[in-house]
Amino acid sequence: MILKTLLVASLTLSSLLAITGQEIAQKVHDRDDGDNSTSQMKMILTDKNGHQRIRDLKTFTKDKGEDKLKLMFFLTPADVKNTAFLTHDFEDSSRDDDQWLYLPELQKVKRIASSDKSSSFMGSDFTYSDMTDRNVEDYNYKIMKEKKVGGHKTWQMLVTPKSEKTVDETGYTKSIVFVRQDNFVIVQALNYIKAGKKLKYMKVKGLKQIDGIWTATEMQMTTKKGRKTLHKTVFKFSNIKYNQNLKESFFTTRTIQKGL
Amino acid sequence: MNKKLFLSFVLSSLLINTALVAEENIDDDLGGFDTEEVVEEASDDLDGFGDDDDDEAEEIVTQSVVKEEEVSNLSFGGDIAFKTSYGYKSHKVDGVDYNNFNQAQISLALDMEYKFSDNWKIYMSGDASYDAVYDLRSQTTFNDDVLDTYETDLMLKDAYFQGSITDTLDTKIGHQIVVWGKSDSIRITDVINPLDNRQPGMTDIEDLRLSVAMAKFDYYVGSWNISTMLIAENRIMLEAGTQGEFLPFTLSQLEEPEYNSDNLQYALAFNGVFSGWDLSFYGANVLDQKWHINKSTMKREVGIIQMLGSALNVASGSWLLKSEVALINGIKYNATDDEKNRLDMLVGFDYMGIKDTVLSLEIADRHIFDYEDKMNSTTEMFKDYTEQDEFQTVVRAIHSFSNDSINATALISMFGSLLENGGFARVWVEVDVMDGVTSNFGVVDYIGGDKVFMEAISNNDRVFGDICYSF
Repeated sequence: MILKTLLVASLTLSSLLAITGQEIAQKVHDRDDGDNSTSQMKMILTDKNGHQRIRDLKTFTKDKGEDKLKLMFFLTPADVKNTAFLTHDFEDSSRDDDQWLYLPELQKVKRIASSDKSSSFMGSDFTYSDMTDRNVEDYNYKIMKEKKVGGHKTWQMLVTPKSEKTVDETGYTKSIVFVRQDNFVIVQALNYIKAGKKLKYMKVKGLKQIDGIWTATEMQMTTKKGRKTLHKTVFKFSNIKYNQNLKESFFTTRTIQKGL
Repeated sequence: MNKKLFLSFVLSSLLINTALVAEENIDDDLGGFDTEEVVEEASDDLDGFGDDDDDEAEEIVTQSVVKEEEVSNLSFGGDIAFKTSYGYKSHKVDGVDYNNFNQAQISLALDMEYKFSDNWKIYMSGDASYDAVYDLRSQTTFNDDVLDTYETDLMLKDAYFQGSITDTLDTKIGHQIVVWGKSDSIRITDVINPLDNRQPGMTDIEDLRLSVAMAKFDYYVGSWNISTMLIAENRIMLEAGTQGEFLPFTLSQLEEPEYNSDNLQYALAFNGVFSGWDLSFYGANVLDQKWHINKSTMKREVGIIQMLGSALNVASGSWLLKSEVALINGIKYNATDDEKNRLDMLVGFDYMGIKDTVLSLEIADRHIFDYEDKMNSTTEMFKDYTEQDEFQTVVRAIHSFSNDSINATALISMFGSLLENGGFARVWVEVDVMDGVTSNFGVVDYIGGDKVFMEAISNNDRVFGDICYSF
């Protein structure tokens, strides 16, 4: 009887979830996220005592086939002004991304070995791996249930890395992501950090459809240990523009050296 | 049959139970999200997504026409800083006891940028400093050279006009710094700018290079950049005050070379940037980075050298491998009449595979061709205190804490193949006090050895601190 009930329940669930986790992940990956974009970004870092640090950045993004070119310039505060970060983010997971940092006080472009992406991105709660697209084939996906987030139906999925290499590179042992069913945007994610029994909660707090492209205008990442918040980062994007006339030659070390 | 049924029941129960426990743990974690946003029964961990939070705001913008913010073409910046250090080892130089506060420097740095267009701008920066310690220690008699070197300073740093002549040709004309090479701590091919050696082991790397006046043109083709420089100034290194703590000797005057057709400086570089690796080739006719004694005038001079070099970076996983090589022609020494050639080589790496940590090692050898023993002979009057192979090793470890608000660095720089020639170790912590305000504090241990210059400053150990407000 129990087995029969489980079988019926399982079949019912399967029919409800006509799409697989892998397919959802692929649709998230393939979703139009715009091209030739520019934006202003405000990075608000808040420590456990509520002490805030604020950084303003200008960002540029361009697709190069399946790969992504990204450029970021720090505008404020004064002590990091003109620091620039250039990334060539490759779709091929076996290939390390190219990353360069321009440090104005040294007047030098420095290449960064980028295999390990678990480090903090510019002091934020986001890691370098959070700032780049995850490769779909590196993970297993399991739909856990359907939930409503912010009034929208989402799939709650368990995402587990297939290899220890991916765990080492991202610093996450597993993630639970919430994918909106109407637009395939990840609106919430819980990441399990490998070291220190900490959890990272990502939440999209602002979502706009700009030129038909669903765009996160505000994202929050909170690092917690148990119920205690250790640190929080909010990214606020403004002046988001797509389809700008950005040439590939703009995404070079020449640009970060010259500055904006 | 009953046993089989019982066994399958137990196994099923165990599996279901395990699944339920796993689900409960995940639900606990998911309790960290906003409870209000989860329509179904919320679990503890999912509540962690936010405490305050309103629902995700959603808006549809059909066209990305956004009002541009007004940005001024003219911008000013700078910083105000206070630096201090305390020598904790008893030692006297020229009658001055340096076991005391040795620095109480207030400095103001200013910079200005004006953009004529998206392509053209002028930039100027400079700083002024006053070290109050020489007035605070009014009972102590510092010699004139020490006071001239450290008490007050007014320096024009960068002052250049920069822009793009065409899509593929840039120019930068004026006082500027050009960094060559891939290494961070040891200079092999980085020969364009002279150094500020007034406080060896203490100068921040950003203040180490001195800008020189030049016209620089950069042509870009594919993955390559061809860079050419015509240097219009014979600026030489700044050295420590003689008979002071960092140069406890009496030395003859250091002559700045005249700017004439014999001393023209120029340089050419080819820089390639590729996926996973970078390669550069350099050629330069520039002033030497060291002085020698002109035996006819008995004055110290800086000669012209010719350098051909190359630098390579290869990124592999979490490793950044670095190498540099430079063949330098025409180096003049104290003890010999003829000029020598030298081959400088460096290998090193940065390892970034540990979270929020960078480990770096650089090892260099400077090999003098046609070396003569008298260059390091105890009986030679004008010895050079140099061996045929001069080794230098630098180890650096940086770790960031508290989301980059605290950065701790340990740096060890040693000379000699067995580290026997001395060097220094420096450990310091940089704290982001608030936006635009940083503070450093640390300790420097000068390590004596077989090299006379390092042995002479081996008691200069000190603790130091500074605070800087950038605006």
